[in-house]
Amino acid sequence: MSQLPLPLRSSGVIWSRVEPGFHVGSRGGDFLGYVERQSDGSYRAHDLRSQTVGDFADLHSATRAVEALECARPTEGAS
Amino acid sequence: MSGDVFTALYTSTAAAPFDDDALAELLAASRAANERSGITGMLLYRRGRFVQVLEGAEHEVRALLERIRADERHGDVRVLLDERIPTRQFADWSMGYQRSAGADEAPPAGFRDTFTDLDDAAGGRVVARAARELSMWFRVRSGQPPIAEDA
Ligand SMILES: Cc1cc2nc3c(=O)[nH]c(=O)nc-3n(C[C@H](O)[C@H](O)[C@H](O)COP(=O)(O)O)c2cc1C
Repeated sequence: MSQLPLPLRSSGVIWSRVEPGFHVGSRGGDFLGYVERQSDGSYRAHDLRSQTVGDFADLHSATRAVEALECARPTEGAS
Repeated sequence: MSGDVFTALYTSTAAAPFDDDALAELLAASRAANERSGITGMLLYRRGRFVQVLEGAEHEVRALLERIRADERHGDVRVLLDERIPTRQFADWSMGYQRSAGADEAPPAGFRDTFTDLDDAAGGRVVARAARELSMWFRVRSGQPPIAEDA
C-alpha cells in the first residue's frame, strides 16, 4: 500500500473517485472512460460510449484496462 | 447551433438541512420554471451542500443565477465555472437529481476526490475537470453514456 496519494500516474492519467465505487480517468483534460464497482464487488471498466471493456477482480486492473483503451485507439477521423 | 449554450456550475450551503420533501418541492418548482425558460441541468445535494449545473441561453442562465443567489434557503453561492459549450450535457433533464452515496470513506490510494477538487482554491483546470467528472457520473447514473456528443 502506498502512503501518499499519487494523483498523476506515470501514464499521465488522472483518476478521480466521484463517489464510492465510481471512478473516472482522464488525461490532459480528455476523458478516457470510467470504472464502476459491481454489486458482487468486481470492477467493470467502461469506455466513453458506456461499452464494457471488461470485468476485473480489482480496481487497479480495471483502471489499467481503461488506460489501455487510449493507446489502442487510433486517432479517429472527424465523426 | 454550436456555441449558443451557456453553462454555469455553482456550489452553495443550505441554510437549514433539506429533507426529502423540501428537495422534492424545490425540484418540482425548478423543473416547471426551467421548462418555460429552456434551462436544463442537474442538482446534487450532499451533506448540506448543493452543486448545481445550469445550461441554456446565456441571459436565461444569468438571470436564474441572480434569483438563485438571492434565495435565502441557501448561502455562500460560489460560481465555479461559466462558459459556452457546444452541446448540452443535460438536454433530457429540466433539472436532474441524483442522490450521491457520499460516504466519508477516503478515495482509494492514487485517486483524486472529485468533491475536494471542486472546492480547489486554485480553480481553473482542476475545478473544470471535477465538474466534468460530476457530469459524467450523473449521466451514467441516469442510464446514458458519460458524455453527450456534439449532435
Ligand atoms: C439550490 C437551489 C437550486 C435552485 N434551482 C432552481 C432552478 O433550477 N430553477 C428555478 O427556476 N429556480 C431554482 N431555485 C429557486 C430560485 O432560487 C427561486 O426561488 C425561483 O427562481 C423563484 O424566484 P422568484 O421568487 O424571484 O420568482 C433554486 C433554489 C435553490 C436553493
